[in-house]
Amino acid sequence: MKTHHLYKIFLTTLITLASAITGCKKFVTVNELSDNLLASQVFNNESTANSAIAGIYETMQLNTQQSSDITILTGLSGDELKTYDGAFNINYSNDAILSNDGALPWSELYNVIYQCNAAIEGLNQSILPAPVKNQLLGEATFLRAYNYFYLVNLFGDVPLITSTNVNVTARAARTPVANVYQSIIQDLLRAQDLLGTTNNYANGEKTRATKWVATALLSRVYLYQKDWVNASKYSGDIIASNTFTLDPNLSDVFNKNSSESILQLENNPTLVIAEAQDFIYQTSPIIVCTDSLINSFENGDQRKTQWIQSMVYSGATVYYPFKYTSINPNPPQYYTLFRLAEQYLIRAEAYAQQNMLPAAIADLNLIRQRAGLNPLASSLSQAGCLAAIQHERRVELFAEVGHRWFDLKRTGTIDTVMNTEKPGIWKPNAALWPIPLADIHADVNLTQNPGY
Amino acid sequence: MNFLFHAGHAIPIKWISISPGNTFIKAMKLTVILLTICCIQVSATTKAQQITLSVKNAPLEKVIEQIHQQTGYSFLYSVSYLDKSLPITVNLVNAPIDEALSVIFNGQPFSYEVKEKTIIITPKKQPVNPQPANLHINGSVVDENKQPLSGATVKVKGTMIATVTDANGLFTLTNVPENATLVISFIGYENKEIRAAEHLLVTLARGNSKLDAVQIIGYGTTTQRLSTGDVSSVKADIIAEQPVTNSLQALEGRVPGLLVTQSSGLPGASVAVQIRGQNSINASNNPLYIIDGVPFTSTALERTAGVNVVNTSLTGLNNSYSSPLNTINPNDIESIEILKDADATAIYGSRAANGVILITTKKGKKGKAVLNVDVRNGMGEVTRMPQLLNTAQYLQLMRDANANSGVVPTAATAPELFSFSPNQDFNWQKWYIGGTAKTTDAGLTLSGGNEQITFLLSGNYHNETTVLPGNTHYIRGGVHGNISYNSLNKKLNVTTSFFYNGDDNRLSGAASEQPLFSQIVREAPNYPIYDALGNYNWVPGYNNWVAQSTAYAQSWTDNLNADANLTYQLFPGIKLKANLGINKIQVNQHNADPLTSLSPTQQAATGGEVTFANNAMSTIIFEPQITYTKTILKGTLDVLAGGTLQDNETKGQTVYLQGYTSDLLLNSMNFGTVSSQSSNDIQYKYLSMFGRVTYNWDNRYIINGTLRRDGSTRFGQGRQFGTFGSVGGAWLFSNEQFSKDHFSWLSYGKLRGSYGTTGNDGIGDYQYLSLYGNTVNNYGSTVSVAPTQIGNPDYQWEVNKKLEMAIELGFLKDRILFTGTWYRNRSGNQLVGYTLPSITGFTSYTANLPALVQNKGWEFEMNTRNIQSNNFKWSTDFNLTFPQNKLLSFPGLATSSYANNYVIGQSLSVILATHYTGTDPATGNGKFEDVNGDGAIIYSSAYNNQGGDMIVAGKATPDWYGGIRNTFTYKGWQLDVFFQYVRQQGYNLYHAVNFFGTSFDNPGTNVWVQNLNYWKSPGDVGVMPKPLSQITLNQISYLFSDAGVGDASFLRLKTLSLSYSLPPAILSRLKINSLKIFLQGQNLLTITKYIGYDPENAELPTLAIPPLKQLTLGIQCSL
Repeated sequence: MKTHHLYKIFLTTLITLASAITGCKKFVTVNELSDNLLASQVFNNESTANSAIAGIYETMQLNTQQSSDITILTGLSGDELKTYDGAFNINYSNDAILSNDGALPWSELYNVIYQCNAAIEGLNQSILPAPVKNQLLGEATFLRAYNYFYLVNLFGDVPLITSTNVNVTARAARTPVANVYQSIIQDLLRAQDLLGTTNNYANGEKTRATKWVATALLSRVYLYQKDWVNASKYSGDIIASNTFTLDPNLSDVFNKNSSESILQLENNPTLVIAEAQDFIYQTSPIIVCTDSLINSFENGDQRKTQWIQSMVYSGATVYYPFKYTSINPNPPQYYTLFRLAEQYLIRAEAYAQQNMLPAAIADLNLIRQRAGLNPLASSLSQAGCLAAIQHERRVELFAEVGHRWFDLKRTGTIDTVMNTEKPGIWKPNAALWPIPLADIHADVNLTQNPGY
Repeated sequence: MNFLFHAGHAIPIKWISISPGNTFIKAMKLTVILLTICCIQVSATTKAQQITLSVKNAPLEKVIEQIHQQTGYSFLYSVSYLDKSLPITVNLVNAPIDEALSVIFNGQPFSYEVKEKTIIITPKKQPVNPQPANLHINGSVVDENKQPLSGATVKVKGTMIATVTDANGLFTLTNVPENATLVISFIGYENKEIRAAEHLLVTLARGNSKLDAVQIIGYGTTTQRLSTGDVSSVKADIIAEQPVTNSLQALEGRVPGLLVTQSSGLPGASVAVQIRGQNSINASNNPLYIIDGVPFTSTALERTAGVNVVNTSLTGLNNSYSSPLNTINPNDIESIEILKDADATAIYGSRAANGVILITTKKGKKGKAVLNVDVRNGMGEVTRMPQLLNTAQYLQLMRDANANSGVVPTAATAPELFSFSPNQDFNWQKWYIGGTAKTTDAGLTLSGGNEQITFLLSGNYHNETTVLPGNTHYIRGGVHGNISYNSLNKKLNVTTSFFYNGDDNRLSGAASEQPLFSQIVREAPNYPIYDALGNYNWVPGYNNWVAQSTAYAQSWTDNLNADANLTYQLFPGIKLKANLGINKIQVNQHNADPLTSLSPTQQAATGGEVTFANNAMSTIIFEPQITYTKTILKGTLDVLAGGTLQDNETKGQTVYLQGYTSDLLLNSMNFGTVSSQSSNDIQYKYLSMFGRVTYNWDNRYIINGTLRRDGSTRFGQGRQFGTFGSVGGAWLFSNEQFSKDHFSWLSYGKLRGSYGTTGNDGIGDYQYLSLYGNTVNNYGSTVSVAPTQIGNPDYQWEVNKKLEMAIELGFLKDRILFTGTWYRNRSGNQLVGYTLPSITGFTSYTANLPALVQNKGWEFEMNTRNIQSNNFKWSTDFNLTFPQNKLLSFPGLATSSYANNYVIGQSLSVILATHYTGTDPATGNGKFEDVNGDGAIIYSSAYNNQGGDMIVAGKATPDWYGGIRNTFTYKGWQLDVFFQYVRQQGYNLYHAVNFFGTSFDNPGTNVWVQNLNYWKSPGDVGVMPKPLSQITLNQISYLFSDAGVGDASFLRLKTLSLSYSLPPAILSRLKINSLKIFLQGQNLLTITKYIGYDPENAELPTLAIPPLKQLTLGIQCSL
């Protein structure tokens, strides 16, 4: 046989082999995993999509169990809490947080935002039927707004990340506060829209966002934005819906699915509420209420006895928050994010700012009366009414995910209050926490807050 | 007719395929001739090719009969011819048939022709005219396996007439004088001279030089002489003379450029193997292992700590966990090839960055069936045990430490001084690792075969106890088989090999109560192990290690490897091959904390605890190939093309249970409560095409090019495929005429070089995908999932560029062989956990970093046959390696998570430490260099803007290493002495993690006698800082200082093997083939200045159980 025939045979076989193998390109593509879910597929299945949204709440729940718990850190930075042993997160108590402080709730919030962005991107592409898709999309959109609300209030200008694409997000710069708020409002309005048809909580559990949950944050955001009209409108909507009622019994307010709660984080039955563990002491106190918080309660205020507990330690009486009463698994409460009392206080403040004093005082008195206090006189001045509302917010919403710290900042009273609370220690720049150093290093466009 | 039938078969098949017409005519001619003659019945039995014959004046007929019986060759002749034959007198011992025939027919009035297995005898032609007739010669040259040799030179002796055989080993010579002699030579084979004849079949025997031994390479074989790449072989004899459990241990010190370290002296321990240094910062640095064509995992499959934790003493080691290669019986291995440079490795493409290790199992051999029995017994102890303080010294140190810290010890803070007995002196170290490991091995191998079928079947059993206390063992057993079939026409070959090995590894004191070696040896020597009632005593804050050692970890591994290899010669020069292989390796684990191992508090809290885990990996590989061989001009062209389809799946589950109320129930899941559980399922698929072209010009110039295109599921869409390639060349200058003329003392000389790229895909699977996984808990009753990683679809392979130059020389007929190699490998495109700002959602993802790691060095190898007399032989093998590892660049190092580990321009194994300048005689405090002059000693890196005072104190990889083996043979005796030398630095007993005992506020903190040389009173000079019971910054600075880094070089008598084989006279009386008795020792002697346990484990700042010194006595018998 001649040589060129052999060549031909060789080449033909080679080409056949080559095409057979390159034809198998699909061979090296992963289509399915059994231990993990492909992000690209999660949102095309109702069950996994629902699990992914539940995962966002679960991550937030997990974050309350970390050192980055916002209630404790803002309480220490502000005038609600102090460290008893002189060590635990002392930099927060001293308003001298280091930029490499490991507890700063920054990456945790951005991780949740990543989950929200991934869900929004996934659901926008999803083949799921519209009702399911809208419900889940609404929740994700709300949750993104909720977490940005905390970022912007803790750190000021923050990068506004609305994508999961690293090439876009890894070099992001900080976005002005106003623009972040704009995005928050946009998200909330859209969430309201998407969640519009579902006023009822699934299975009676108030642990997933509904239209009213989005509305509750919206009224809070408008309040912070000093948009009094919208603040009173949206809080009014919630109150008028008659979906929620103030719990007459203070000890029931934080109970699972209490009539007052608007959004709570569901607790896995095997777990305790971490915040309860931080406050309720088995051996020695770690974090306790400041004297100013204890002293701010009026005589006869039931909240001081129901929501605060005291113990004698080393001859001194120490007080600690007791909104969550159990350190055992499966406690009677859920970790509460939104409840009706706040909406009354928002409407009261918005009314007062609009000089609708009788309406404002009426709302305020509902809260006072439940706490066993006398109603305020309708003759109160606007300034007096606003001051009364701020006081009421302090004693009603203490140790509840940062309300007091944010109130001090948005009302411009922080320097005055803190100079009295921590004389010689307080520095005005401490109102904004530092951006974590690791991110400043990793992202050249990220700038630090002044003073760090 | 009978004859014709045989004759038809006897005609070489290759002739038919080349020119069927021609053959037909030839066959016809033969038929005509043959009708007139008779024949000898041919039997189909295969017999030896060698003839032993001693006759005096015997008739030719008798001689022919003898040859037929001995070889199976048949003869064709006319009976009438024999009348003219002359009586024959010959004395032949094992003579090849050609030689025998030429002697026998010398002077006879006949000429003969050999055609395959038929010898045709014809009357010698009477010269028609006085002029000798010129012959037209058609011939073929084959090797001992009847495989054609292409490129062999056929020369007419004393003339310039010469030719080269073609791809099918065929040659043609015209106009050759009838009485001429042909000289047939082929590199690697012994020359042969043969009388010229019209038809010739020449069989060449392989040369016995080491240069010509078969060397396995990727998808083929070669010899060292003709190789363009860098391949080292370790053969079965070297493995067999070492009493090792893991065959990788047998490679220690044997191969230049190969660094092998065993992590501990316990069976099943991981063995770290690095070919030419660390290439990758974050991805795998393991070589690719291929066993009989099937890729084998290099990473352990254990899903839960256990056996591996005891083995490595601490988790988090480089190559932690056990070694899966442990499940391969060293006795089943024929050879291990280590592929190092681009030329040798590029054919493996994306997995070859760290080199390739090819393991070939034993195959059956032709010949009478042989039964081999091998039994051995041995014992082992750990190599070194530094002495710890006795109770008196320990208590004195505690008192001094307390006094120095101004602490007044109390019964509560220091029970050693108050409530423990000062008279008890328990040697924890001796108790834990002071035992003797006993080994028993037995092996049985049956092998044999004929021209068509060869087979091998073997079984093996290995039983080993450990140095640990308690019921511990390592048992391994299995079978290995191999069958090879060759069709009669040599076109088809089918080979299948398989082995199955199972092991059972039980070590004491693992499970979740991990008694770490470093903690046990430092326990207070007067700790009261038992209370007054003889029960285990638990003092709060202390561990009762004797109790805790009743915890155990057990693992069972099953390893099945099978492959089928089919080769078919489609046309002359073209072969089709297909290889189908599977490997299935499965680990089952059972780790238990019985109640006896738990303190009463923990018994109440958790009850007995058990972890059950299993993990199985299966690999299927299919590799079709085609090869083409052709002679072009004076050279031979070899082309290989092929493809790979590989599918690799790993599935495993872990269940952790608590609440066992009795130690009798620990083997069942039924009696515990599930505390946690998990599973994994990973698929890794691989697709590629590869090709290789080799052109060998006259055995002087060889060029070799390799190309591979790989696709892998470890990379994202559009990034799965990568192309790798290499070019290698060799110049055998000793085959040049000028060399032959002027440098006759140079028997072999070769310059070779290669350059190419290989890849590294040794990262986890699915890193490019954005994935959702389970959250820690569910959200209430709703199953919840959350993103587990941020995908990076863009990352690509790590690319390793390899450059190598080498010179190979042979002197005095190759009695002295020398190889000198220079190499430089650069790994770029490093796959690391790339730091991301957390605003992206995650703090890192897998990405390529343009960091560059360089490994370069020199390697030398020398083999000499010093004495080669009949009775006494002495040979020496020597190797030496000078490796250098350097981080050339790393953009963004200062802000990366590696900022405190690496320094540009230094090795990746750089050791950073504070610089200890002595102890202040006045205060007893250590003094350290304040590198940045800030007045404080900060123990972070002084480089990369880390603001610390830790500077380069050395590196934890060798400066150079080597080995020397001397083999002496005297009659039946053989003595092998192998020394290993490593020049290196490492962490010693003064280092932080080892010596945190200077702070005596922790219970159980004994130290070693070396640490007694501490400051005691003002004026003490040249001593260690004073001990303290409460740690200070000064103390920490000392613990992290260069005082803890020192020389860890060692010279070790790695192997000593003495064997005696019974002489043939006795053997024949015993009616056995061979009998060998041997005594083998491993790690018998270590000479080192190292302060610590074994210097082999000095590269990590942790304590490891030292390797064992072993002595084995065995007997090997072949029936």
